[in-house]
Amino acid sequence: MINKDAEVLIEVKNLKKYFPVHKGFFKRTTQNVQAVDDISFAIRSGETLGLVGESGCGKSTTGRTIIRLYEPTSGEIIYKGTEIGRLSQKELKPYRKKIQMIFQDPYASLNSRMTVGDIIGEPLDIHELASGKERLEKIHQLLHDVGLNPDHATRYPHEFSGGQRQRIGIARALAVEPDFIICDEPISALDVSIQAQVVNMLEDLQRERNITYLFIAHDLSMVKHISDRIGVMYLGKMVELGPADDLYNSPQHPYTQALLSAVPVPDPNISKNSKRIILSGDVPSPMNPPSGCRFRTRCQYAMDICKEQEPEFVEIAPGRMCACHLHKK
Amino acid sequence: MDNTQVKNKQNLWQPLSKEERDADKIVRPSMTYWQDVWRRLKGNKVAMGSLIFLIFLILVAIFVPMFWPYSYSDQNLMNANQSPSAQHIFGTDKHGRDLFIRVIYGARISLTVGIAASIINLVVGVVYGGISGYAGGKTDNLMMRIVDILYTIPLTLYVILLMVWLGAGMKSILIAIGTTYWISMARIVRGQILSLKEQEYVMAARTLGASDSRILFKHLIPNAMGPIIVTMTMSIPSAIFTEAFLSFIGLGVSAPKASWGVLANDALGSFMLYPHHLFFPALALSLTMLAFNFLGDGLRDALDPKMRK
Amino acid sequence: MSSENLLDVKNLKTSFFTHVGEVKAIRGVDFHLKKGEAIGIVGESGSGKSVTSLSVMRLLLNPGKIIDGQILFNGEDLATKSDKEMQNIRGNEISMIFQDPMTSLNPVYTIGDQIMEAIIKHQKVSKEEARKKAVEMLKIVGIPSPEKRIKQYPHEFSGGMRQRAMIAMALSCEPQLLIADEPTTALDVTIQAQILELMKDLKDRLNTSIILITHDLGVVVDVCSRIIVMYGGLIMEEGSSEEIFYNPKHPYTLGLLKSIPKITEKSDKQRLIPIDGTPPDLLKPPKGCPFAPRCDYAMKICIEQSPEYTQMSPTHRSMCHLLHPDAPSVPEINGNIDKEGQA
Repeated sequence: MINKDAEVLIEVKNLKKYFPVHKGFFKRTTQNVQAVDDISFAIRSGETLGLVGESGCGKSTTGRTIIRLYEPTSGEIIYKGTEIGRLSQKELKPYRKKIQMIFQDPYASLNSRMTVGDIIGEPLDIHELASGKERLEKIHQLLHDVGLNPDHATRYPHEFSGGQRQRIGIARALAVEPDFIICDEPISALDVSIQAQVVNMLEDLQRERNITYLFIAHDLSMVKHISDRIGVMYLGKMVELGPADDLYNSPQHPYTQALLSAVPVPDPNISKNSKRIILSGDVPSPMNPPSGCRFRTRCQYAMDICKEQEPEFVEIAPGRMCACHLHKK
Repeated sequence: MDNTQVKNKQNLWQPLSKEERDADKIVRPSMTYWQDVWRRLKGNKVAMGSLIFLIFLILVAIFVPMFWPYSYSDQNLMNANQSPSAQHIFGTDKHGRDLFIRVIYGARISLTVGIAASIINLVVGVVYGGISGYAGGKTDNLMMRIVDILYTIPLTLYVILLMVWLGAGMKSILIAIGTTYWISMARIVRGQILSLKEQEYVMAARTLGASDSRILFKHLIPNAMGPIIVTMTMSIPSAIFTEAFLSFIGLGVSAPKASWGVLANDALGSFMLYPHHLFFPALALSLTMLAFNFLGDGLRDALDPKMRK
Repeated sequence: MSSENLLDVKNLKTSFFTHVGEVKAIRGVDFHLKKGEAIGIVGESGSGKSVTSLSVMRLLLNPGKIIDGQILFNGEDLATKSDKEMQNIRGNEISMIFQDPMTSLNPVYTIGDQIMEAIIKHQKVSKEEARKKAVEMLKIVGIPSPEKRIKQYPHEFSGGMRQRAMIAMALSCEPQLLIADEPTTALDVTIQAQILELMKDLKDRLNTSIILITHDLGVVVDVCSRIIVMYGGLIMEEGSSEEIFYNPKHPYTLGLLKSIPKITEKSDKQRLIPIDGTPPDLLKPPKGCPFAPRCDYAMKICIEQSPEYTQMSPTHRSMCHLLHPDAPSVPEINGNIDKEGQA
């Protein structure tokens, strides 16, 4: 739900994350993988921003850099007006109660040697939020909130299904009562009929607790369903950003157009009549991206200027950002 | 169709209540990771046999000397060099001492050395390897290069030199073995930590704000326990053999104490005439080492997560 | 009818004999496939869809075993063939491609070697001819500069190209049947579009029959004319794509369709309607309908007896007690079916 007057909760300015490639005997840095290359966006309180793109586009890296699992190479991360991108890990600790993350793999994101109760209770222990009886009550409450039986707190993760484990992960994130949760492909590893359960729960939690989401995924239909606004990334750059419906109904960037036309629609009549834009070739290497516009090597509208000059990410209509020479203001 | 049949048929079409549907039932029996490991180990007959043998050996080593009529140092020159008989199960040595009880005492020494050395290995190796693997980067590089250099020193030579310096005896043996065998453990632990570090639950712990030591000791090391246990079990036979060897060449425990190595040394001059002098200590040593090796192998198979269905 | 069918699976039952007991992965599956036809098998984890394809190919590993049923391929029963006989069929008459192109290609052999291996084994031609055929196959699947690429190793190919190489390998001996097990699940959506176009094109050109196994209903609509929906080791519903999408007659199919977001929907934030609960554990398969615990319309009979199939049209059948003439009326499922069970 977009409340246009809501404050900006989290803002990212000119964020870059490069991974150095070491070669040679002395492990000198010869090249950089430009995973995230100068992106900027803002998310309002209570909003869900979807981030889509294909493998190698940098969407997961963006999420992980915001939560400081990776250190940003340059740029700013601003939470409620405070710059948190450069804080030390110690100074960052209180912010860990405000910003949390849900992971993709329900089998790997829970420590199989810990009971479910301990997994959910860990954030309470780290931040000393509760102990003893109170801690146990909180854990039971959290299990209940995510639709699981509180009696199961003594069981181990391997006794639960994928969807249930994902809910345990969500309970863990909720334990510190965060404002902002980064969802890194939270449903990709789940069965289709279970995905809806988890998505509905995320929506309910957002409504009840006014949580803001950054929803990173590659399932375009699901992202459209849950997001208010969506950002499209390609090879480390953000190429388009706008309200979900607008973006899907009239995509402006050629990559967005191709991406949306490639989604298989579960409807025989629509599928038969839809015209697919088939992109040629493969995604270029992020170590050596094309000059100018990175998408030019696969774009059907590529012009000379696309080779020489990188298009700016500008507002082409109210609330709509796009980086393409076709849309000069 | 009569009335009761019609009624039954109608009942069948009644809708089910939510409780009756029982949709989130957990069917399989609850098994923790270690129960699963134990089940797999039980299936391995050789490993179980080795485990039973070792338990038996430990019990014998502890309890038999308490009621055995002979002690390891009782000499009786009249009975020297006797073959195995009803009175002396393993016969007697050249000083008339009961060989059976001496072999049992040898077991005490070997097992003590083996297990104590392993515990030292465990602690030093896990801490060193854990820190190195978790820190990564230059620290890891430096720590591992130190380990590499230490590894190139021939262990036996080093231990011998150390023993010459420290003098013979149990304490020295423990120090010597304890300061050298941790290297393999450190490497194994470091390797485990390096791969486990990238797991999502570790990332989750970091996003929660967990400190480095918490992540290392609560998350990483418990998950690396499998290879740690296997390495520890497999290092025991090496420790036992090293002690036997040292005692054999006269640097370890000295007479009249009865380490298997000492017994072997005693037997050297006379085993052509009295083969039982060498046979029994050698048998005891071989069986014990084999048992630990088989148990270690069995543990490795039982702990392997890939086999977990 | 059966003489026209390329593949006729009858009452197939496959179980896994594990240390905790017998897991009945497939509990009586029947379906057929004509020449040149593409069918999709849709289901979630534990539905038995992958096990079905592995059973057909006789690639089940211990402790899996086919315990009953027939797999008639061109009239011959594959279930009774020896391993040696099956080796002549695999790669030759029936080929398979898998989900992860990273792990299904051998990293130490060139792509060319791997494609030629199948050709040489089955077609008994010289190495030079096999190489020519391999280059031609790479061209057919749309890999540029095939002469150069044939000498490269899998790690030098991107994900999409590897999957194309897999398809080239699978089709090199022009099999009559291609089984594709989640072939595009691990690929990006734009690459997926390329691969699906390729598969459709090859099906038309080479008249290959395809069994496409997936959990993605969008993918199956694109390629297949008929769809089989599996759950809990059994076929719940089977029909043409129009019948399944526009006239589903099974609560599970209906539930699936309601729980997936449609990219074309107008977003007034329609809530997704999930299916509660989780798939059944086939260690102790329920004696009734496997979907009953999660079904909104479940009745007492559903947990007592397994339903019979009701045939709604020559191509459309469903396994649900609601389709029985005595069942109470549920508009979504049996709304337009009269007492005789005819649509």
